[in-house]
Amino acid sequence: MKILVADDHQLVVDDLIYYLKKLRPDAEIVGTSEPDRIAELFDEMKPDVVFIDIELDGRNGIAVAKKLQEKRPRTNIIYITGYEKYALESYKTYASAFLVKPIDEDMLRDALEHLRFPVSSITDEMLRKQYLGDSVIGARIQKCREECGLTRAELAEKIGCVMPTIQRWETGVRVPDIPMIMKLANVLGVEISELIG
Amino acid sequence: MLVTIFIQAVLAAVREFYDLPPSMTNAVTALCMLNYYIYLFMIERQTIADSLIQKELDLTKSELTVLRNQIQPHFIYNVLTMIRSLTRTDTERAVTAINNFSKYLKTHIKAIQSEDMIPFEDELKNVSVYVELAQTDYPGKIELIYDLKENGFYIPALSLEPIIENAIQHGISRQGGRITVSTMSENGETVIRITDNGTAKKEMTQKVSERLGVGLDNTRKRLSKQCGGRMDVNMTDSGCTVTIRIPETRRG
Repeated sequence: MKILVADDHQLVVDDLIYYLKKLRPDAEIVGTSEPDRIAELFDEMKPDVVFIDIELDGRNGIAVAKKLQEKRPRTNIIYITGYEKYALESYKTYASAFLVKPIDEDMLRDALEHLRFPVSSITDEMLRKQYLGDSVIGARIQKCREECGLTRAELAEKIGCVMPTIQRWETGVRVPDIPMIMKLANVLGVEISELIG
Repeated sequence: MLVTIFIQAVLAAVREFYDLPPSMTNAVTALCMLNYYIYLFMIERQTIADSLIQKELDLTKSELTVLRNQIQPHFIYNVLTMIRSLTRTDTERAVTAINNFSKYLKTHIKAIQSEDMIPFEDELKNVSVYVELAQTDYPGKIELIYDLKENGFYIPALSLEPIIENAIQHGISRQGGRITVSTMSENGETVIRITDNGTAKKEMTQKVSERLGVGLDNTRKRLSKQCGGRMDVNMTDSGCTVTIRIPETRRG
């Protein structure tokens, strides 16, 4: 998981990173207190989750978030702020969560466990390096499934097969045939090319 | 109440009709009138009670308005978060921040509890505490310069804070800069000038101009109500100047 934290004050950023590291020790976390660097860091890092202060340096944090989302729509935007009044407006950007300061560990844990665009445990990096050959397709299926927030049983039901079948595909024991691949792409809401590469 | 009067009126009419001795009807009439006056008295008492409740409500409302304007939750939560972070990395700065924050809270709570004006020198102390707190995590350096030719006057508590806040957030912004507070006497008025040399290119979003308006608006109202003062804002490319004029009184 990759997380970007942006707030006016470096100490607030530090504080958030402290808790995020506790909650997700394996995550790549980057923070900034310079609003001008947000877009740059976002492009470099391609984070899955962005924590952003709404009152960013007098600027509109929501507008900044909107621009980020235009670049990568499946980014989870989590707003942090001292005021509740912007809550409704924040939903213009399909925010994943809206946290009102002061923030504590429980709020963060909750927000990370209920991401709008669930983040898979399989990263693109892993797809490139670890999974090779036929098992790549399995890994991709698993990744897309996790990003849809579906369990294997749930996916099996939607496809019209049994859970062990999904399991075999994902572990690379079997490869789905073409009609099944098309069904998978349909159910998981991805292009076929994302599954077969 | 009305029922008893009515009953007694009816009884009086009946007695009259049956031609009872005058002393009886007189007594009844007297009783009727007495009842009527008691009724009026009770109505009056209720009206007074209602108006007292209304006055209390208005007072609470105005206290809440002061509260809403003087307490800045965003600022407070940011400071608390910063202190929390500092306790892990730099306890000395954490202690300094906590001390400043206590002073900040003390002046703000006092300002809510009493609408009295305070000596200008005390207001300057409030301003410096605020600037120190804001500086805790500020990338640039905020320089506060004083040029005080007049000192012994009174001013509504925390009237300068919104102006300084604007100067820091929208004027000198992240680069840091200088804020000059100068006072002088001019034409029977005490003039307070707050200038910042902020040349930050600010995006004048609707929210920014809203906030600038609301914060300063409240100050303007208080100045006018409490000491007949006026406020002017002048923004140029090289900075912003806020001028406050207060008619001189024989205080201080």
